[in-house]
Amino acid sequence: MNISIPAFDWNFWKMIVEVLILWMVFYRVFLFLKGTKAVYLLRGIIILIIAFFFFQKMGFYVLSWLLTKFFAFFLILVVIIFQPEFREGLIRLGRRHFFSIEPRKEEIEKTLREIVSAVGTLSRKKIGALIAIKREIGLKSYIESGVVVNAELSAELLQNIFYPSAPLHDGGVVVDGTHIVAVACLFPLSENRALERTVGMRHRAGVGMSENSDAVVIVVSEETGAVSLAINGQLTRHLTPNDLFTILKGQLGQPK
Amino acid sequence: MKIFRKVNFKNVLVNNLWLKLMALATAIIVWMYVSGEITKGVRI
Repeated sequence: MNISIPAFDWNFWKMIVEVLILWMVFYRVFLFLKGTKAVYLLRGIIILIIAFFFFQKMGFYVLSWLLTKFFAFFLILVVIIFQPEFREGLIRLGRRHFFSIEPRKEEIEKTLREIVSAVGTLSRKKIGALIAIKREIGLKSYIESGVVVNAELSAELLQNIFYPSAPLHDGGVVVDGTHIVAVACLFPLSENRALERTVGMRHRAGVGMSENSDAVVIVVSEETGAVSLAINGQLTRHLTPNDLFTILKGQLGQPK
Repeated sequence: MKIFRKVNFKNVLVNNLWLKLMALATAIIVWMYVSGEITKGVRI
């Protein structure tokens, strides 16, 4: 490797551009994998790679040969096991515009208005609801625990989902951008002892979800109809629809 | 209450910092490995 650093050395700038592109690609891949079961697989691969280099350096040629053979088999296995993730990733890549990745500001605002409208109605009718709005961290493991719907979000659809006799009303809804991705999802319960005793399971699940991801979680109490918002493990209770909209807009209103 | 989230470069950098550092380390390692392999190939 011949690396010289003068300002106008084309090779040096080519190297920087290549590393930056690789960095962006790896970061996107890691972000995509975060919050999925594939993280464990990634850890396994990293351990195997470290072991491979260690064996090579120490001259354990039989072990490194075995690992090389295992890698080839392992790659095929990975493609088979994670075929749905690969498919989703490629579809997402194809769907996105290269520079405007996220929905436009107006679309986000419209979605937030729909959510606030639905939450207002559910609160008045004292119908319990649990809505997690995805931000950067993937929520695939939670999505997989529910029923995938991938439907465009509307206030009516949200109300319908949480209607007490509806088959999918139990559990949480995951919203990504302008879409309801999944319903009846299982969210992790918070073990925070500082939470009030009056806080029920739905609120604990909302707080738990916000502790385990960067999602913004809206909770509507079945008993009181009170609207709460959980962000980063902090629960803000008794919000009016206006407060809710303002906070949501502040948190999510700007495209990333 | 803030209505719009300001684009804060500190936040952009600090958000998922570990993930970014890990991605950067991986990118540098991969680049160095591949570059080394290519150079080896050229020498042969």
